[in-house]
Amino acid sequence: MHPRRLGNWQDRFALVLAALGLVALLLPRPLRFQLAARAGAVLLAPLRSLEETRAGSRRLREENRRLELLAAELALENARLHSLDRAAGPPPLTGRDLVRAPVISRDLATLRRYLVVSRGNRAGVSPGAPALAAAGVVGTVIATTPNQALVQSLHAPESRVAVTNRRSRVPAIARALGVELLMLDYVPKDSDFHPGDTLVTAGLGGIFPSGLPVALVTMARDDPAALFKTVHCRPLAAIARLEALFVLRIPAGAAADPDDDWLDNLAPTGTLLPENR
Amino acid sequence: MRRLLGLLLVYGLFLAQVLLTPWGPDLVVLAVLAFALHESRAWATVIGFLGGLLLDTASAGSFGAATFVLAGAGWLAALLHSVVTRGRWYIVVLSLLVLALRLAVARLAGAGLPPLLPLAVSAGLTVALAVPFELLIGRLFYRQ
Repeated sequence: MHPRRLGNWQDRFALVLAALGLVALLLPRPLRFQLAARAGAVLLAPLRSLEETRAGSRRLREENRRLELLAAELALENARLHSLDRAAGPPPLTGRDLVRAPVISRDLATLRRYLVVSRGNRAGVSPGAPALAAAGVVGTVIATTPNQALVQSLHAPESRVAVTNRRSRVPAIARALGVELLMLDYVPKDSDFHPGDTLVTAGLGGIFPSGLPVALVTMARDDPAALFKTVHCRPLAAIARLEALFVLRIPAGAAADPDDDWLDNLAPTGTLLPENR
Repeated sequence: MRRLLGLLLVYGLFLAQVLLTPWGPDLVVLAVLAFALHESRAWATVIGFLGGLLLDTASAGSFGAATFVLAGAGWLAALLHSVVTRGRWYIVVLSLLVLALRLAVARLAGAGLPPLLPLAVSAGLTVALAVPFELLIGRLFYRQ
């Protein structure tokens, strides 16, 4: 297996290979560079394709971020046009724009009731500002610091959002039901709600523009013993899986009157923060 | 088949080494020496030659230096293994010798010296990993 005798064919073969290396070393410098470049182009191809894949992934993430912002802007624009279309609706809100805010923390109990985002006062985020995702409403900003903001989502027990059934235009108030669902309060028994109906913001109060998608009705039951109809719905925004959301920047002076809090989505001033409870 | 897998492993380690910082161990040198201890002199030289060629493609200025040194080191390791039957201590000396020779030959060929501190750390790691690496290759490829 390992012939001890030196000078056999194995040693001569080794000598030839080592001599080849020496010949390569003695080649003129430009030729050596050329050879190394050509061999490197072939041998390092897997690393280059890996780098290209990484760059492509980075590009797609950027593109996804841009498209998310575009979708949120379109949802807002749609809501604005919707409010223009309805004479009785609130005046369209102007001068607002969206701030993309990465989610950096969540409440540890449910991971979806309160979110902390890494944008605060310095980015123009203020308490009472609506938080949105491309799919729909997420919740409301309830506290800010210079670089962070606390968002109370639709799943928080204190959250209330005035909604309208997009199809039948029946208004109601949505609040959290358990960890994943919402339920509607004060739905008249003769009102028209069916599973699959989309609920959009009613626009009452001037913070949430009307027409923003909020939730999808999953169950509508008329219980004879109840005063109101039982309607359950599921938020359209996947709040538990959000990595970033958009906060609507409210220009100074455009915020709702903090005393007018009969609907909590207008000004959540009475909300107790989780750490104060 | 085993030899083909060995060459593939050397290539994989070369790619990993290119991705590593200059502070990392010289994985190709370790693999060449570890395989050379278990192979015939001819095949050990082939592995050394190919491993050196791989390293040379990543250092254009001294193209040929690693090929020359590693081909010789592969042959020498196989020869030592056929002479010294007990222990694996010489792989440590060989790895240090290969690193020093490679640097010297590259310097003679006109290539610049790499930064001293990363070079020292890399050499230290290579020497420290020589025996464990050889044992691992022995277990994986030669069931020893």
